[in-house]
Amino acid sequence: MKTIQIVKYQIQQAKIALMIYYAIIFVIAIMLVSTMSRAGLKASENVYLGGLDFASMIFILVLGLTSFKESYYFMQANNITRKGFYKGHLLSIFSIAAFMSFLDIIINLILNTFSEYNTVFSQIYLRNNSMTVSTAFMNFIWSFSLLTLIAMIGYFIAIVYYRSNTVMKIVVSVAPFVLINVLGYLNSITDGAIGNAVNYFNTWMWGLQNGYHPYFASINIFAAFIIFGVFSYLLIRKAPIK
Amino acid sequence: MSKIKIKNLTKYYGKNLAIDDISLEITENKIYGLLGRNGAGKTTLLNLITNKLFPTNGEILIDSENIFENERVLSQIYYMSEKNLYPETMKVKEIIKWTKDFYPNFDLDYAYKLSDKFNLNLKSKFKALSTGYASIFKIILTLSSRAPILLFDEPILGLDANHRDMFYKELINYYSVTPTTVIISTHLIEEVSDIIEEVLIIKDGKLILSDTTENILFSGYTVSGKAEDVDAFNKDKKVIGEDNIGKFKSAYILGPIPSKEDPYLNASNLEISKLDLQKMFIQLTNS
Repeated sequence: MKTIQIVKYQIQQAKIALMIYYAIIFVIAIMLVSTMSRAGLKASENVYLGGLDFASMIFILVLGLTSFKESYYFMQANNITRKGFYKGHLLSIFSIAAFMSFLDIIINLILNTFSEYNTVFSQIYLRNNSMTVSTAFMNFIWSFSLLTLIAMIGYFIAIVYYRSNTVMKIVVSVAPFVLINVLGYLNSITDGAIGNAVNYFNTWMWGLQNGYHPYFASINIFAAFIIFGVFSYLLIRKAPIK
Repeated sequence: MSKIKIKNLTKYYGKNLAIDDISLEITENKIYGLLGRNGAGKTTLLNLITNKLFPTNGEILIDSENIFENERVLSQIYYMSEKNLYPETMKVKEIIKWTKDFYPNFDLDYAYKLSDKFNLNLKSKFKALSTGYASIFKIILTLSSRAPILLFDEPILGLDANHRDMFYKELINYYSVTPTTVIISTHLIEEVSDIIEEVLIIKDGKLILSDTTENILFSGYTVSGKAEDVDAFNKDKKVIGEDNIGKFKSAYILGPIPSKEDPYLNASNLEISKLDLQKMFIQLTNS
């Protein structure tokens, strides 16, 4: 198997984007810290920073959206099987998501030394922002599973667009808006039953039923990753060169 | 061993039949010419052989193994596709280096030598290459891959006469040193007729002829001379085409080559020469 070469290629393709992204995040972090220190604000004064890792979620979604066609074509130029290509893609997603999750936690720890900084994870699951080894590990697992899921959703959307003809592309683009409106309408005629069901599902999905359960959430997120992953593979399995 | 066996291959695009029940064997270390008119199914056949497309029916075996998602056999093929499958913003040199990662026997020195010979700028981005240079680049990758099966789909697209000549010579040199199975799909039949050993002619998705170039060329002959003499000679012959230049005519005839002692030929000063592959092709593919 040429898996190592495929992973190497895919990571190499993402490398420059990752470097630019973290350079921007680094600059933003420095600006935040310097603004805080110039203003003489401290964590004890109820000034909070947070959510930079939300940018990582957007970044990896865009990476997922853009990482299919060009890589697929190049792998086809080199007669790589679709199975091999997909396997390589999965491993590269895991590597990039792990790297980003780790770096986001490091950024969190650094920013926390200057002011109170809350990651998305700590805002959802931690009552205080005391980052211990076990909460950092919990944060890593949760971020890792979430980033892999988001990357896979982006990838799945890219493949759906690739496999669709013009009419299907329009249908796929319009479908989310139609679905939201239909659900909104159904919600209004069912006295909020749809909204309640969505809320219930969200609470369960994110491990917020009867307390805070980030590991349970990670399992659910990973299950969603597998679902999108299976659909993506089914679409790739016989994807022609257009 | 790199024998390709195609069994009852059929491919539909929706309701359109692109490949119609083709069965054939490509034996190793020969140069095949895959000929056919536009839309005959040549590219579809090559795409099927390389698993870029999937057949509706039938199967393709390489060394007795089905090619479907078979990395071992697919890695034995390098396919110079007519379509540009390379990252547009990547530099030519980088693409060459990545290709070496996927083809372990890739000859980097040979690739650089050929780039120099064809004046290909290795620092250019792929999207900056002209149609001709994109073809040259793909030719270089294909030859340098050292894969046992090389497939060329319209390799001379956009190449000027000098570069075409260089390509043919390079292919012959390569082939003489490294025996390889080569399939060339092209429209310029006259130019490749001296290179190809076997001819495959496809018409409307059907394989209508599979034979050695030699057999095909000796299945008929060309007779040239004064138009009235040629017409008289042709009366009982199967003429597949004619060309007129003033009072002179050349006719392309199927059948055994007449002996040099033929009294009519001697009396009328008619000249007999080899059959033109292109004329044969036109005759066979004209519906």
